[in-house]
Amino acid sequence: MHELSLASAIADTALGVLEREGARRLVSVRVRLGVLSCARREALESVFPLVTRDGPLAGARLEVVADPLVLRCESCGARTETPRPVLRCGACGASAVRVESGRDLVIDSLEVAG
Amino acid sequence: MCETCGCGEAGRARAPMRPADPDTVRRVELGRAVLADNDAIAAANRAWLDARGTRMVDLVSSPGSGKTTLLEATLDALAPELRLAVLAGDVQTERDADRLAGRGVPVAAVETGGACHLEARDVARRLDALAGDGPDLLIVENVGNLVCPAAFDLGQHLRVALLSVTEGEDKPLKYPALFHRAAVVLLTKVDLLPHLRFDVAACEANLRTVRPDVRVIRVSARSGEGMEEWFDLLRAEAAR
Ligand SMILES: Nc1nc2c(ncn2[C@@H]2O[C@H](COP(=O)(O)OP(=O)(O)O)[C@@H](O)[C@H]2O)c(=O)[nH]1
Ligand SMILES: [Mg+2]
Ligand SMILES: [Zn+2]
Repeated sequence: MHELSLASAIADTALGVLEREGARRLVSVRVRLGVLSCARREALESVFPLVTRDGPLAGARLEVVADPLVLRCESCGARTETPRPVLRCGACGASAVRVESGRDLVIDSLEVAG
Repeated sequence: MCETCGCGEAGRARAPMRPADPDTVRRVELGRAVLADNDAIAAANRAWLDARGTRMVDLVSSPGSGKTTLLEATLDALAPELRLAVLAGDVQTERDADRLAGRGVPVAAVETGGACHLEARDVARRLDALAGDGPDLLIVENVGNLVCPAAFDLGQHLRVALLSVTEGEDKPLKYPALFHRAAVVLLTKVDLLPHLRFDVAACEANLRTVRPDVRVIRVSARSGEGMEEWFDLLRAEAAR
């Protein structure tokens, strides 16, 4: 299960941010989970406590926000969104679409204290 | 006492409120991909290979879809005409690397020690030894898994997914992240089709749902069907 490596990467980034910000404690971290990213919300949520057990990350909250697939149609030009992994223009149905976002797992923001 | 901040100094009541309370929470916007570090190493791998004219092809699939068997046939067919190198990832053994050895092609094994995917740094560590002389193709057999390898860019130029006809037609819909990232899908073990109820057209439609421009090649390492088309694809990749 690679969610553990993803959670560790989130923890490492959070530690870096705390140091840069001169903060003492992580309160929460918000991630955006793209439809075509390959992590599962439940798995992320269940391993997050393992990588935030002690130190400045102890007790931090993980907030997972679902990121839709944002498509740009190369046929009609429409920009449409879908919560499903379907590469088809939401306006005209064409499959000539470019993915603008929804592929990644992104650390959106953090709340820090101290 | 000052009513604004409770500091006890009425004279400074108008000072900006900036309490030194250790529990004041502030938000830091970031917008950084979780795998940004891996992506940076992958980009460096790609640049390193580009400088040597080597193309990296990453094979991904479930365990048992036929990656090693396909590679055995591929090395036998192409080693006489192309300069090849192989990196085989495996969770615990070096069995696949052993199967591929003895064909005049350098083969390195990566034992991931339990990890279910290769990461860009696994490749980076072995580039010098394996591809220092700039072979035409560096072919990677990723760890058998339809979930995790998708997330990790290795620096490959082409990702190829294998889907055997003994698996379900709906695999692409169940594992969209992986199949979305595969420009080419090899439908493997098609010699078994007469014995199965596998709807090839439905499978290809599902693949196009997650990757409209996917190129699908039906192959059998057993009968040889489709293999020449696969070899041609690799020849074209090597010539890029
Ligand atoms: N019938 C048939 N069996 C195959 C074919 N390719 C591989 N296999 C069998 O599928 C099994 C798994 O193959 P392997 O190459 O080890 O899969 P890997 O785990 O993806 O590397 C082995 O028993 C192979 O003999 C094929 O084209 N046709
Ligand atoms: Mg294998
Ligand atoms: Zn459209």
